Amino acid sequence: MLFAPHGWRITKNLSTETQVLAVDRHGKVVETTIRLEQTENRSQLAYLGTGGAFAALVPDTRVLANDGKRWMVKTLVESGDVSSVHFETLVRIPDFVRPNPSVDDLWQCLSDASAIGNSESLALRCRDPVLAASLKSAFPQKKQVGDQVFAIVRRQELASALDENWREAITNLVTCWLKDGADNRVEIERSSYYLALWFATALAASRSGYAFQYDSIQHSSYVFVMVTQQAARPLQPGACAFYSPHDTRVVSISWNDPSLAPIAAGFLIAAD
Amino acid sequence: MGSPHVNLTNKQLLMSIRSGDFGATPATRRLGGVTIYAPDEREMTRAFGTVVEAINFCSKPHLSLMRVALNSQVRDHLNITIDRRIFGAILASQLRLGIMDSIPCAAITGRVFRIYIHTEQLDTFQRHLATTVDELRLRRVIHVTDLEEKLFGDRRWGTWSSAFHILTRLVQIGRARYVTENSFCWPLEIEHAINKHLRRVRVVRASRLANNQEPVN
Repeated sequence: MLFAPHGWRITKNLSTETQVLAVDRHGKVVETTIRLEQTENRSQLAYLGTGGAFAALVPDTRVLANDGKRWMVKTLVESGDVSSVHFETLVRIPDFVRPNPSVDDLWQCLSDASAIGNSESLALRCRDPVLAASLKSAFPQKKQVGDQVFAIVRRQELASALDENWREAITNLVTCWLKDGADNRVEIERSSYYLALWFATALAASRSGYAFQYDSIQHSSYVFVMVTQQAARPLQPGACAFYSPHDTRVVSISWNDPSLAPIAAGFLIAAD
Repeated sequence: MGSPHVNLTNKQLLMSIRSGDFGATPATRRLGGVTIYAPDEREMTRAFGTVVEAINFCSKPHLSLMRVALNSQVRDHLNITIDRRIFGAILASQLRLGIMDSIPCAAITGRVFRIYIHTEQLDTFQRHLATTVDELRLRRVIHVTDLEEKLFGDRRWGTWSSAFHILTRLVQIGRARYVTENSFCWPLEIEHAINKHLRRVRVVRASRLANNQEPVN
C-alpha cells in the first residue's frame, strides 16, 4: 500500500508511473514520481508492524529506521527482536493531501473479507452483533439473522457515503463491522489491513488518536486498532515482524532521488 | 523433578525462562517478549531444535490443531512436559517464520479462538473451506460428523476437530451460522438479501439501457 496524494492506494492497482508521497532527508513530506514494475517473480510475504503502521512487504524490501539505518525486512523478521528498532511513522496528514478513498480499492478489500457478495453488494459479518445493532448510522445497512448481524454494503451506497464524508463513512463501516464492544477495539484480520490504514487516517483527520496492537511480537492474525485521546506518536518501536505462509507477486518500485523515502503502509521505504 | 521453571523432568532438554537456573553466564535466546535460557549455546541449539522438530512432526499430519492439542501431542511425542511459556515462545517462532499459521475461528458464544495449521496443510484447508461452502449451499444444514466423513473419509484422531474448525472458520467470516454446537447452516437470508439487490440493479440497468436505445423521432 502506497501513500498517494489522495491517500492509501493498493500498489498493484496503480499505474506504471505514479505520484506518491515520500519523506526527504529533512523529514519533509513531498510528492514524487515512482515507477512500478509488475515482475514475474514471486516471494514470501512479510508483515511488519508498529503502534502506528502495519505493512505487508516483500522480505528484500529495505525500511528506514529513525536513526537512518536501512533494515531489510527479512533481517527484522529473522532476528526475532524487532522491538529494538524504532521507526518513524507518518501520523499527521500534510495539508496538501486531500484524502479520497478509492471505491475500487475498498470494494476489493471488502469483497475479499465478505461473507457473501456479488459485483453490486456484499455482506460482512459484524464482530459484535449487540454493538452493530445499536448503531444508528444509515450507512452501512444492517440485517439481523438469528443472533448474528450483517453489514450490507451496496457499492453505490459506499461511493455516495465516501463522497459525502469519507471519514464518517470509513469510521461507521469499520465500527459496525469490526468493533468489539467488550474490548473496546476494532479487530481487523491482517489480510484486510488496508482498512486499518484508512481507519487510522480517518481518526487522525478527525484529530483523534489511534494505536495499532497485535497478538504478539512474533506473529499476529489481527491488527487491533484502539482509539486514543492523544495523537499517535511518530516514533514507535517495532511491535511485530513475521513471514506469512503465503507468497505474492513482486512489484519493483524505483525512483530517481535516493534521498527520498516513499511511504508504504506507514513505513519509509529506502532505496537499495 | 526439578524446579518448576526448568525442564528437568526431561533429562535431555535444559531450557528455562529464569536466568538464574543455569549459573552466571547462561546462553540466551530472545523470542518476542520471552527470553529462554540454557546452560550453554550447544544445549540451547539442541533443545530448541528438538522442540521445533516435534512441533513440525506433530502438526504436519493434522489439518488443524488447537494450541492445547498441539502441546499435548508434542508432550506425548517427546515424552516430556514443556514449560507453557517456553512452548508458546517456540511455537510463536514457527509462526514468525511462516512455518505455521494461526487462523481465527468463532465459538458458539461469539468469542474468537485460534487454530494452528502447518504451512503444508494450508492449501488443503483452503480447499476444504471451498468444499464446505458448496456442501452448506446444497444441504443448507450440515453436522460436523457428516462433514468429517465427506472431507476425511475414515475417522482418525483429530478429523472431527478439523471438520469443526473449518465450520467455525466459516462462521467467523459469515459464511456459516451455528444451529447447535455441532451443526451449522448456510446464511440463506443474507444470500437472498444480496441477490435480491443485484436483481434490482440489473432490472434498473436493463431499463436504462432500453431507454437509451429507443430510436429518436
